[in-house]
Amino acid sequence: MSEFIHVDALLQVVVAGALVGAGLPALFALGVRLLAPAQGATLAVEGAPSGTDASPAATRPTGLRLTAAALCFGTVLAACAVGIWFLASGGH
Amino acid sequence: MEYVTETILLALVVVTALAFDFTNGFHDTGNAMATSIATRALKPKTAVALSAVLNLVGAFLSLAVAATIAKGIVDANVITLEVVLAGLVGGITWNLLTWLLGIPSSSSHALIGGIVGSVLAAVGTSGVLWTGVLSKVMIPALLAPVIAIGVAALGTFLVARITKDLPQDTTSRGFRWGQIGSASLVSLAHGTNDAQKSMGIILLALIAGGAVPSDSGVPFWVVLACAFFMALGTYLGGWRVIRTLGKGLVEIDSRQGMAAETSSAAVILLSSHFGFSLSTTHVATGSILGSGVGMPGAKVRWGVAGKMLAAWGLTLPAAGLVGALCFWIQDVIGGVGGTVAVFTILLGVSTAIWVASRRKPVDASNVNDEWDGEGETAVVDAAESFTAVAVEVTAEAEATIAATTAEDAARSATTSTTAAPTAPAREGVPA
Repeated sequence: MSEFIHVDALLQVVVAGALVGAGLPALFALGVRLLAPAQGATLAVEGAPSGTDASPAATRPTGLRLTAAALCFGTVLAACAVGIWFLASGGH
Repeated sequence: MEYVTETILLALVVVTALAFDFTNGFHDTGNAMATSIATRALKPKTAVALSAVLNLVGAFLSLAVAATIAKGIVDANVITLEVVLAGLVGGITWNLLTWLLGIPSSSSHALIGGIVGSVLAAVGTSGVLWTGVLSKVMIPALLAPVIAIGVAALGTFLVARITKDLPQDTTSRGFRWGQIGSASLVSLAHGTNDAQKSMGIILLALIAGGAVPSDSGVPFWVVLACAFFMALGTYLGGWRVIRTLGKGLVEIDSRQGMAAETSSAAVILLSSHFGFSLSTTHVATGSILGSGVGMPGAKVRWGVAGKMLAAWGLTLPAAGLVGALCFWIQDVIGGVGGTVAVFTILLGVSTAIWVASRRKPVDASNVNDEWDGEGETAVVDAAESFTAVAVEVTAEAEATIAATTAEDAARSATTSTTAAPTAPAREGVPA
């Protein structure tokens, strides 16, 4: 059977594929969520800055959220860079 | 005379390889851009233009895998210019037919099928490494969509959970960017991997024809030509395939699109990293399906997906049949006449398919129209087109054979051989 299916390579593709291929979209989604204007009690646990009661939709994300979001998007961008580097280096 | 024959053969192989390169770009635009077009993250024309530029850039990124054509699948010693030409015609024919039907199918599998077919016709079963066919083509074709469906479904599920309580309009702007980015990576990877296949074929042909030394690298004009034709094909956009991928399989939103394209890029790059290369088309299609599976409440049209799977199963034998037929015609007629005949058949088939496609054109203006009940009409269209094509090909083959036989008898110059078979193709167009 292993003559026809390279089980090792296949398993590596499945595991790494799931980690990267599903992990990056999840990170991206997390980033989008962190940057989204705080709405209601669910997202305002970190404490919205004062003086925003008038327009809660326009609430700016706090520094902590911004940093976390930057980390998420940064990881995604770094992964893209690795992908391009991989292509340029011959794809092996 | 021998020298002239070789030169004409070489020139026709190069032109045919560039034509394959073109259909490859044309056919595979949807792999990267269908989701971005369907979710309107990009305007259709902008999407294909972006993809074309990235394919162009991608083609210049690396030359590492050029010169490995059907390696480990057919015996390298039996590959001649004639075999390559017949194989290319098989690949192009299958690419165009599946495009007509709006079915995404792997361009590299079509090429491999064509070459396996022409090798079978040339030297019989001994020229084909069946273990390689199974382990490098058939089994990956079955596994690729399964892996991609799994990865994309998981990704989509996670994304949907994380963004569950966010309003759609806040998320879609962010996700559109993610979608464009990931689709761009898929385009770049396509340009790098697939343009190199055509470069490899042309390099092999040049070496076999004695135009460059056997240890030559890929000449710059070959890189440039392959990059250009792939980008041109991409820009013209296989709208029929884009429509099926973007609208036919799953109704997709930008979160699904982002998850699907990221899954495609990750699986394509990782699979080539681990030496288990999977077809871009199979992975991209699987990912889009997966984004429907993982999205709570999304509807997946499994009927459309089933038709695709059937087409993937047919790719190798169908392209192989055309490849074998072309090699046989080439061999029976022999010499320049045979090569020109095969090339003429290619022109005829391409024209017939193009004419058939104009009956119900799909382009940038209607690519996103609602999808309803196109399955049945597609089958009827298919039957009609197949008949039209078959009639055309038979007529041309007969005409060419007749013309060439007459030529041989008269022993006249090659110029009239080239002129004679082209005439019936022109007449065939309005039919």
